[in-house]
Amino acid sequence: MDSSVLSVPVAERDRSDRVARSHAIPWQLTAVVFAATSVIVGLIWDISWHMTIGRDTFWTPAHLAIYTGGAVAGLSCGFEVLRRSFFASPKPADGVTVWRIFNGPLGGWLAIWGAVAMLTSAPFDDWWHDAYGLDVKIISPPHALLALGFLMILAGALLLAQAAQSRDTSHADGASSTPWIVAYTSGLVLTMLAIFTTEYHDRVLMHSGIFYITSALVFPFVLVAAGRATRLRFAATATALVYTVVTCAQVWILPLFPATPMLGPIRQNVTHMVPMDFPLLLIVPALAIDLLLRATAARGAWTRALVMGLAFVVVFTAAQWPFGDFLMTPSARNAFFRADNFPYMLPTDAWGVIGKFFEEPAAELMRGFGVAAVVAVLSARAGLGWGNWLSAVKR
Amino acid sequence: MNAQVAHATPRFSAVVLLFIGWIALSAHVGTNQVVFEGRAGGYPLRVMINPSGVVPAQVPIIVRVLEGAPTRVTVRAAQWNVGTKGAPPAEQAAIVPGDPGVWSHDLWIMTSSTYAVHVAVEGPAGSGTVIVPLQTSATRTLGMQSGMSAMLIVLGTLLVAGLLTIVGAAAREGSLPAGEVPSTPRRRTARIATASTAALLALALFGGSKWWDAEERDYKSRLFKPIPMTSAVRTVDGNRVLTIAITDSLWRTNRSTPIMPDHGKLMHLFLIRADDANAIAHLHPLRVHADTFVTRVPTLPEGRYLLFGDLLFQSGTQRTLVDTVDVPVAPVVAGETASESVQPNASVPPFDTDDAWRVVSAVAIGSASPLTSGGSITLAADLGGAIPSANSPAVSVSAGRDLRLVVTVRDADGKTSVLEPYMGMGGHAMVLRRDAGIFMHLHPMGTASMTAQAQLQRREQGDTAILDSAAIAIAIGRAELNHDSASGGSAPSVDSRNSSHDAAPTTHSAHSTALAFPFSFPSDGSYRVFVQVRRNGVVETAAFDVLVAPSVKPTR
Repeated sequence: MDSSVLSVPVAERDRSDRVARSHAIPWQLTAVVFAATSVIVGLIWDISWHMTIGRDTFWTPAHLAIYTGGAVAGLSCGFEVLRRSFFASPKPADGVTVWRIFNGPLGGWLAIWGAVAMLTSAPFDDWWHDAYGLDVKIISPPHALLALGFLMILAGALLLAQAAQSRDTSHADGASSTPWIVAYTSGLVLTMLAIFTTEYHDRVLMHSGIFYITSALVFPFVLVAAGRATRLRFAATATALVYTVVTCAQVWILPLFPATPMLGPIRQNVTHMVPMDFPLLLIVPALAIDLLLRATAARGAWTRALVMGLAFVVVFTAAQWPFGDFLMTPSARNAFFRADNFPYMLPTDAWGVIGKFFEEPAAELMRGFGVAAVVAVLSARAGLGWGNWLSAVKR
Repeated sequence: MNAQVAHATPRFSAVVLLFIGWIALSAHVGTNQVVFEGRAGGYPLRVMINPSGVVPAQVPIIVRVLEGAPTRVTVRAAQWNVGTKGAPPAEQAAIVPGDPGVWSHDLWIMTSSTYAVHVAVEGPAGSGTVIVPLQTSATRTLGMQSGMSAMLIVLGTLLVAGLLTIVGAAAREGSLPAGEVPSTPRRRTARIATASTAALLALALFGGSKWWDAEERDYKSRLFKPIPMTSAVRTVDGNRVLTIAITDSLWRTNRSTPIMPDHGKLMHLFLIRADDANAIAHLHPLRVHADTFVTRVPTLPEGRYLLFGDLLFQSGTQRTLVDTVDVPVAPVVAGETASESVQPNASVPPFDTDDAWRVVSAVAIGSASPLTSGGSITLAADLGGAIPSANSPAVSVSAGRDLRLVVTVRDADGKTSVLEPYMGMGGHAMVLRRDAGIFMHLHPMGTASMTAQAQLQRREQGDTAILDSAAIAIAIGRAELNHDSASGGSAPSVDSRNSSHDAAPTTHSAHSTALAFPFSFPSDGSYRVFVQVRRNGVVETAAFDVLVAPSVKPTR
């Protein structure tokens, strides 16, 4: 399905389509993966902007990156749908039909939906600011719609990559690139979900039940699905690695740029862009999930989910709990770990600043871990189901 | 609100009650607008700030340089409790095209609080900074325009329909090899998937709307509310005594900073007869308890009165108590002096020496109003051009336009009177929109309190101490001394060091003939302006009516 398809004779096109099906990467996959990357980069940049500078307009580079992502995803997939629906003859048989007349790749449809959701959220958000003031809270209904748009663009990229992987017959010899694209897009989805739940992944919560419950809700689902659906030996690990690399990159790169807060009251001495926290050690439970996926391959889905869900909670806690202790020490306040990444408005006596965990009674904590275990099992089970479906996606 | 609607209300009292309930604001009532005149370096200037009722928001700071041509004007907003240490850097204002001498810049105000707006001017006449107190509060929510909601409904419907179709298509065809036609069971599965998604989506939308409602409620709960209080007049020993009790839990649990005297008084209380606004008293009640103030009611006719009690907190925040109170018939029919002759006792407080009241008959702005001790007083609006004379009183004043309300007092022989300081300044003016939706207390410096300004300055210099009652008593005593000696032109600030600062206003000097109040009517409507001056030891009160036309330019 290269873009020259319109200008070649039908017979030749059929042949080229067949060839493309075997190994080539569809151009709209490239476009949507770029779009997803642009959205993630823009989102991280925007969050850092709000932690550092505070004040913004529509035209900040971060916003432009986000909206470029939306525009590229929406336009490239919209173009592909129009081409397939009205200008391709015979009609391509490898898309899904929407409203009887439109035909396009499944991932493309999600990307278009995401772009429309982003488009809708813009005037809604503008009105919201006029009515209730400039953002006091990050999580507002228009922002939720925007976030849903991001997520759909990422899911679109993932589905396009999955479909490419399904159609790719060359992966058996290990030379194929499509599984890596799947791992990369899964990693971006993981990064996005980690960002959305960042409020519950604060350092001060690393010894609290809510931290592990939230983690158990989100991460086993993504990691198990990725492990199940990506044709790599260590697929969950690769996915977690993408998250780790992206998150580390922002930790290391953003503080290289000088910046001054432009909103008051300013309570921290901020001189450079403030990044988000150092990545969670998800790579450790991801490795466990990869190993267990293989070890339990012959078992039933619920047994596998039980094993992997519990393993996630145990392994993740074993890694993150002591790492949380370390992050609270002065040794972590350096250019590598950036545990001194305090936004300008954070009071100087905030727990994170004085290095204090939110503490809860032992009974409460135990109950928290109990809930986390149950949630992790359910999340892993959902991840298995989702991963099964993903691995079957061909269109 | 002590809204006792015990008997039929005259003329617009019903409207009054309604408006007080809805629009009661902070520093003044019905508006947070600031008009301030002062000096920064070698430049006299007028600063105008009219915050929108939304917080956080961008607030335009407008600086009119009254004399000279500075090279640079910067503005900066520092929250009272963090100062410039915690404020973003100063930002350069730009000259407003077509309005010579006017500079403007929008500042981002993130919280409902009190701010010191630092206006810095640089130029050949000398550079300097002036601090202008600003209060912000969220006072409104914005309804959605029908065009916008129609567009959002269309896009929302598209999103819902699109999502359902995509889910159906995914379940039906997503995992089929290219070219394969979906089987009947697959089609059924797809329909089930669509239906389940529809149910989930309905739930999500329901949750979303509940969330929106909750956010709206949360915002509304943070909207400005008047300080809860009660007021009542009872008759004690043949005197009408007004008791004001603050019932605010924030106040009673000391979660706001303590109040402090503003030009020498802990409370400036204004009683204005509700139906015709023809009777006014400017009183200074005695604080008899942490949350209770009492005062005698002077010889004013009975009836329902609007009550406005101005308070100043040590944070520099000004708040106004708002209520209506029914004043019964005076038990002793007597002249003002007779009433004063009653021996005060524990339950009947004495009048403050600066208390003043009068039954007035208002005249139109630009006209002369006769004074009780002879002569006349005139109020005119100076828009920067020629001051309209009494012969051409048809002054066209529009909302939002900054101006000076110029007061001219003449003796019986027609000569311009020499005015004595009244509570440390040349005079006071009270502006009431006749529907009682707006009430403001003006000084020669503008709408801001000089003490608030001094307080913000003191904090900026690093003095964050909260004054105890002894310090407050000393401050009151010193202010009384200043007033009585009528010697200094300095504001009764708690810390006299401040008077040497650039910001010290020069417009309230003692024994002057000129008196003007910089002002800008916040909205159109019918206004009554009460002016109080002291001449020959007597406080004179006059009232002027102003019809304010709608703003010529759209206000924010």
